[in-house]
Amino acid sequence: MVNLNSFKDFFVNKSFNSWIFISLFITFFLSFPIISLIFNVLLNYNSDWNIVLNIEIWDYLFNSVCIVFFQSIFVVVFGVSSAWLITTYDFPFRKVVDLFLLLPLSIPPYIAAIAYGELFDYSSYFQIFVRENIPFLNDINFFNIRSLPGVIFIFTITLYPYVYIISRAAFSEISYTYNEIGKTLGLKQLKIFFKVFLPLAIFPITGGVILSILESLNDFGTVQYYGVDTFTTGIYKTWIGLGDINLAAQISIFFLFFIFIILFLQKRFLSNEKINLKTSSRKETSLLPSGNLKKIFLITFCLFPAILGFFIPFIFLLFNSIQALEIFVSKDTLINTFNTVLLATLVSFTIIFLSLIINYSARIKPTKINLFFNKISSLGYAIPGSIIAIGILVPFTFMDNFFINIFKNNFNLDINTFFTGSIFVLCFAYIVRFFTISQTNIESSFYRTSKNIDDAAKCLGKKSYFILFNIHIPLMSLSIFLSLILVFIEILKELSATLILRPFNFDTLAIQVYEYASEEKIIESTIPSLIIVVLCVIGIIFISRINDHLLKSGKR
Amino acid sequence: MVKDKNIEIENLSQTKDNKKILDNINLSIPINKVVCLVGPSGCGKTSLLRAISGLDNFSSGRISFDNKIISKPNYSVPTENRNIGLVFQESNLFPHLNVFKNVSFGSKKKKYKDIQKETFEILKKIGLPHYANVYPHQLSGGQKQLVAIARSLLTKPKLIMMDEPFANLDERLKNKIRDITLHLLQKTFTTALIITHDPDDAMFMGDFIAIMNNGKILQFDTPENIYNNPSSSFVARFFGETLSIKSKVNNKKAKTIFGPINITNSKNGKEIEIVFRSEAFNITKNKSKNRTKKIKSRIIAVRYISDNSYLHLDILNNSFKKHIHIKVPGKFIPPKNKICYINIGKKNFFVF
Repeated sequence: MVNLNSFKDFFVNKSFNSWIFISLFITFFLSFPIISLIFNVLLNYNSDWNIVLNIEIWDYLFNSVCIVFFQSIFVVVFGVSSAWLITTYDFPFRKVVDLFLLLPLSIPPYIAAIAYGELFDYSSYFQIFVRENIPFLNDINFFNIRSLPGVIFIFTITLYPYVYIISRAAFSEISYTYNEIGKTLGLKQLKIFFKVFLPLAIFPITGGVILSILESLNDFGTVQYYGVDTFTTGIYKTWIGLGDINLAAQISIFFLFFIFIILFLQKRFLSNEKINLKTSSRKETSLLPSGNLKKIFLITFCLFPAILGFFIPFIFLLFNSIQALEIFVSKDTLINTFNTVLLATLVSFTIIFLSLIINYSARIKPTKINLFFNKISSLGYAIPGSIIAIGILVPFTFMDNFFINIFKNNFNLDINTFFTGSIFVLCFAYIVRFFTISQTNIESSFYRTSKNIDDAAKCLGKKSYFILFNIHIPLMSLSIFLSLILVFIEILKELSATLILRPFNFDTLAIQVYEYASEEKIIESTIPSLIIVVLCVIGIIFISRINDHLLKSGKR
Repeated sequence: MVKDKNIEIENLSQTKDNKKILDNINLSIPINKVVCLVGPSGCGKTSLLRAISGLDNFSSGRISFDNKIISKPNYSVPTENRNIGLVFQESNLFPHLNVFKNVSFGSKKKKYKDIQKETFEILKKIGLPHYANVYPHQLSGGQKQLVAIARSLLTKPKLIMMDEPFANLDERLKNKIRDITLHLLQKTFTTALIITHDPDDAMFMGDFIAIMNNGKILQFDTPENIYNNPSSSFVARFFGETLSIKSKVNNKKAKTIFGPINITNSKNGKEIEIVFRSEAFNITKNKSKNRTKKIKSRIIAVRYISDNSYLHLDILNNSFKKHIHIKVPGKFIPPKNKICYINIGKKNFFVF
């Protein structure tokens, strides 16, 4: 009897091990590009490195540091101030303004760059108006947007929502009683903000700033279009221009080092995880009332970033696309839209599936190794798309050459490349890069479900996969849906990895925008841009609805 | 002591971070009886429950159900195959399922009709048949707990374990729910292990009580024996208010401020502890000719609670200044600050 039981038990235990095994596999899969990059640099050290190091890499570094520094300041000014006003004061159209403030997320920086590039062009109405009417500004070089400050401007207005979302959540979680205590101690509202709320929320806020920085470092379209060289353009140039993948890998590693320094600094100096926040969701009634003049000020102030980041580019796209309606119905556009949506759907479902497995595995076996997998697998978002692309390209090019040689030597056959330039490789890059988004969401929804729920179901005689499908997935269905949309939007906008990895004769909407824009066919480029933006806006409206719902039901 | 054993825990030990959480636990849970596991918080009650349920592993010992080993180090029948029920402090009903689906969650029946019949049967027993379509968040705390118990009972578990099931309920509701629970367990002939930190709960629910401290089971017995023959001063102090006096044995007698107490089976000079329950004290008149010594005390406060008078007294003795409580049946309300005298009877104190 006992023997039979232990036999059975062996298999049951084995099923537990299989969860770990699958996690291990997924983690390896996700960290593969980085591992391959490191190995490549160690194995193929390229002496051309010195040339690049001497001349260009310091330019890349200077430009990237400038962008990171100024962008950080401006996104904080835009994002934190509007988040504070929205969570503290009551004014008309508050909810609408709140949604508007999120909308710049639907405009990829390169699309905003195209729009503002046209609007501030030498021959634009704006420049002509300024030159003719303001005497001391008639210099033709007045505000050249195709410059480093222009790039910083574009990144600020399109990326501040990352800071806005996070600080808004942080401010509304900090118990409102702190505000009341501050007042009874005789502090003015502004002083309460600087002395209580800002210090308490500093870690999440810097988290938001880091996210926006990672986005701008990932960007390729904007810096390329405005002719400001950064690491991303450097990597692209070395690969496409010089065709030197080893050198591109070396620059990537240097760039990665730069990113990890930023991440380390944030963790080291700004972490206040020790502070145990007394949190409570704030009720609508606790918003402060304001007078009529103040109301007008509040609305204008909060709308300002949204107007710059969304409405101006959006209206630009609308007006110009009307002139190019025939492209809208063209075969290319339809095929590209179909390609993009299909790709985004496929990848986002895969990502959700993988993150469910890796998180559930960590839940039923919370061993150190599983928790480590969890951490490693969510590094992808810190790594720019172009680096991931190079990291994937290196080993697959090697494998392709290997197969081509085998077929050539043994069967005397000329075959095409096998992996590089396939949809599979592109999907792989997307999964690595955007896995973090669903990972953090799914992880926190697992965390919110009491472990006793699992135990109760186990005692009722249910197996772990049954519990996953019948308890956890239904319970976190909203979070899953939210992650799906978030990943979907990111893939719609993604350009830098796609540009390197896209298959031959396969374009996404983002690629179409980029190609039109680089041929200076601005009007044509507005059509695919508009499709991306509209799809993203729909997604963002969904996201904000779901978030509100989660907030109300206390699940956030 | 108990012959109908069905759940047997032998020499169970568990260590976590070099600390012994469970220290050589031996416990036989008799069939169809309710056993209450009682002890202060952090004494290892929940660890024992998790070990029995198979949710946690342990370092040595074994657990058997019906003489069949289900768990020992390096071998463990997974929780889902043990056929046990578990009820937590927070009910942990599945929030996305209604009461009917929650209760029928563990059902092994195939046909919907059978499941329905079975579920409504148990819902009737807890008095909530018309709540079948209600979702957990619409239930009160007590109802949630009843549904959680029903959910476990539906699978006809060999053993149902409850971890502080009444701790989140207010006093009145608790009394009602634990009454329903007790009768439900009796009606369904279920073996139960109920964890509680509250000695009242244990006395009310248990056919047997196991008292635990620092990872050890100090005494396992019927409630009467636990109360009347506590095995240690800790057990005596745990159930009810007590006053403890340290003394030395001298000539088979121990000196206390209440006069000498006969100690039959101790050597001379041995340090002993005498624990008095508050029932041990009587209020007497100064002149009464009782053998034991009378102690002068002052009445600090008197409260009349459900036909008992509850007296707060300060003992007025320079070497022994203590505050004690005495429960007197009936209405007895002397004025505050009045001086009175107390002595001890023959029962309700224990020598260790």
